[in-house]
Amino acid sequence: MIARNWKWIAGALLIAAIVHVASLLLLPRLIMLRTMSVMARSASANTILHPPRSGARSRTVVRPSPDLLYSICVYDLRAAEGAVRVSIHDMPDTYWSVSVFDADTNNFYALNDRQAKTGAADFLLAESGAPANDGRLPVVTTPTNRGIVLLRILVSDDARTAELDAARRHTRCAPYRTG
Amino acid sequence: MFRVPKIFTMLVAGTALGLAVTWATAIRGTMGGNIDDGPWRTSLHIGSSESGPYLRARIAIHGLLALSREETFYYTAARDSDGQTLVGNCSYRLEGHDPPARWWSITAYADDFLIPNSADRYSVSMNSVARGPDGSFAVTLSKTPAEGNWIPVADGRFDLTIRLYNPHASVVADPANVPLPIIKKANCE
Repeated sequence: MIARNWKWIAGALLIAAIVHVASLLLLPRLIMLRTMSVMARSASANTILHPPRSGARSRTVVRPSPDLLYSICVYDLRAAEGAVRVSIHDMPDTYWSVSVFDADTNNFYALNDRQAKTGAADFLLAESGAPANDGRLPVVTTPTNRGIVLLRILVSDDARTAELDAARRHTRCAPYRTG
Repeated sequence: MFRVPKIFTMLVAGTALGLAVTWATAIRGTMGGNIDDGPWRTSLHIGSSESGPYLRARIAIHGLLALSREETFYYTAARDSDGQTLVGNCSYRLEGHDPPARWWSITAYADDFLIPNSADRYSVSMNSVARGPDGSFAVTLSKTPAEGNWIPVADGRFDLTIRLYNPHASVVADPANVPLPIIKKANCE
């Protein structure tokens, strides 16, 4: 029977290989798309969201830390018609980091409070070779034109929650216009 | 005459097999680059853009938006120190000292999300944990409230994650020998 149907079996195995590789490569992008679309229900692209501390009802991102405040911005360079500026100011003395992920889930940029030193970070997200940069701000080149900017702030003491929540609201994630 | 059913069978069987292999290797499979430290396991690939397609798929499912290990080390335990699966109908004691990091926390999850409980309590951390005179701590994991350090869990399987923020150089150099808490089963229903 196998000998009689070997062409069909070989065809099925070839299809299996193609489906396996395609699903494997597409899975991270589909998961990021789903995550970004869930976030887009709360805010449009290039706008930063400041959700409350994670609890059992937090279901947008797996394995959230209940000890962090997360602020999230879905960046979209096409919608921005150029670059997106991320600016963080006047952060209090606690661990914080800003990290940027591309549409394939890769973490291609991260900066923490110790590296930033001044309690601030200010940079542009732009595609490679984009003319958006006027030289005033450092440019982080994005592998894909959509992705996620994630700000983490450690709530080392519950009594500081209000102070830290107020501080993160100084953060901006918005289209950058030169000139 | 049997050609159309055969083509249909080939397409369906091939697609099903392809998806099953993706499920088995990427979704259910291990991350690779795993390092075990007692019951705790970490992957050296988390958050790395150099991760391959299998690892990237698995991180997208179980650790989306995770930081690189230079920033944070994540260790997860789904078993106790005797190798038994962690389940909510048993209670456990975590015993140890502060892990070497700028800041650390231990959090319980079921199915990759925080476990609902009336106390809204999900973790203990460097700041919140109560220590003994020698600096050591013990944390109870149980469904019912416990005195002192307590993380609520619920029926069914659960797992734990230790996060080490800005880990000390010793963690990066030798992640298999970081002094992490032991997990002892106390009793079961």
